[in-house]
Amino acid sequence: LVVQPEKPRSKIRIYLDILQAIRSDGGAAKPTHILQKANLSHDRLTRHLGELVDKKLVAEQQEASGNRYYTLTQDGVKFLAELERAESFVSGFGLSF
Amino acid sequence: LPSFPYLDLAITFDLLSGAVALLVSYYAFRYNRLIENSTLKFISFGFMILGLGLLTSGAVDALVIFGVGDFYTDRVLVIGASSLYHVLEIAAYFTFAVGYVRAAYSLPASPAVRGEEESTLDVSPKTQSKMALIFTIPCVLAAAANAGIRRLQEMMAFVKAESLVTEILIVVFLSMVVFQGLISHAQARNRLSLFVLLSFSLILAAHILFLGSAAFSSVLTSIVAAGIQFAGFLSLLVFLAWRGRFGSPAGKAAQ
Repeated sequence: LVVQPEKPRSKIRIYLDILQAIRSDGGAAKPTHILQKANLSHDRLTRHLGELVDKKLVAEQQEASGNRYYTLTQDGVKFLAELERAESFVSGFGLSF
Repeated sequence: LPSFPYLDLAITFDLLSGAVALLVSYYAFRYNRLIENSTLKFISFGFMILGLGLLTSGAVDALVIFGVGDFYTDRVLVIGASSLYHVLEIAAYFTFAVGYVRAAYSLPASPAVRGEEESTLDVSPKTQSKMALIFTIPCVLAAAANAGIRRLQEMMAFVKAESLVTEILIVVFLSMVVFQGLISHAQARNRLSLFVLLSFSLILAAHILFLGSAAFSSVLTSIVAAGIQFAGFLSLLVFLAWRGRFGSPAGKAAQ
């Protein structure tokens, strides 16, 4: 029996998972929630979240208590919808990304 | 020309199918720019040439029906458009087959119009003699016209053979695509993959009928095949609409 290793997720797939994780928390999520839902290590989450913040798809906010949380920007919501449409399209042809 | 109204229908099917194919090509191109999946490039390119082929064939057949040129010009136009469409069709379905096979192992005037054109516009020897009687032209011109028609008949025979070879190749390529689509749907088990599988299956069924139509010169079969092929493209259109719904947050929630 040969068990094939699972294909590593692409960067765009990780972006999709992060954006979906934030949306599932009502549009604002703590890093630990995103980390769990997107199934990422702390280092990779920090790197990818930083990229999403740089691209203005996600905004970093801080509570009065000092806790950080992330929200979807208007562009982030649009990008997420486009990525989900792309995911639906490729899944129809039996593909994934 | 008893089947003339149906020919109109077949041309409409071709033009609408071509538009749907170009729409699928556009979305595949757009999403490839976003997610950079090489198979999407194959899908985009395949649907683009298929769409262009369908639109060209439909447009030329429509022009011929409305009579843009003389008899000889019309025939040359139909034969030229038909040959171009065959080449584009083979290239498109070959592209799909290669794209699907790569994806699977590195980790498809419509033929209806063609059939009808062949039967309704066939130049029999009887027609030639009638034409010679009606058009009492100087001997030199008559001989030249006759030679032209003989050449057309040879071309028509070539077109028929070409149609058969084209349809056999397309059926082979589409069988590969449908097989891969079946495997994909068995794994994914969602409505979107079902629509795509249904679409390619209907197009395959249509081309099997087109093959029969080319072999037996059956106009009715080719009209039915054109309808089935159009149903296949309609299924792709439903897929695109469904995918749009799916992509929205509301659609995801409904899923």
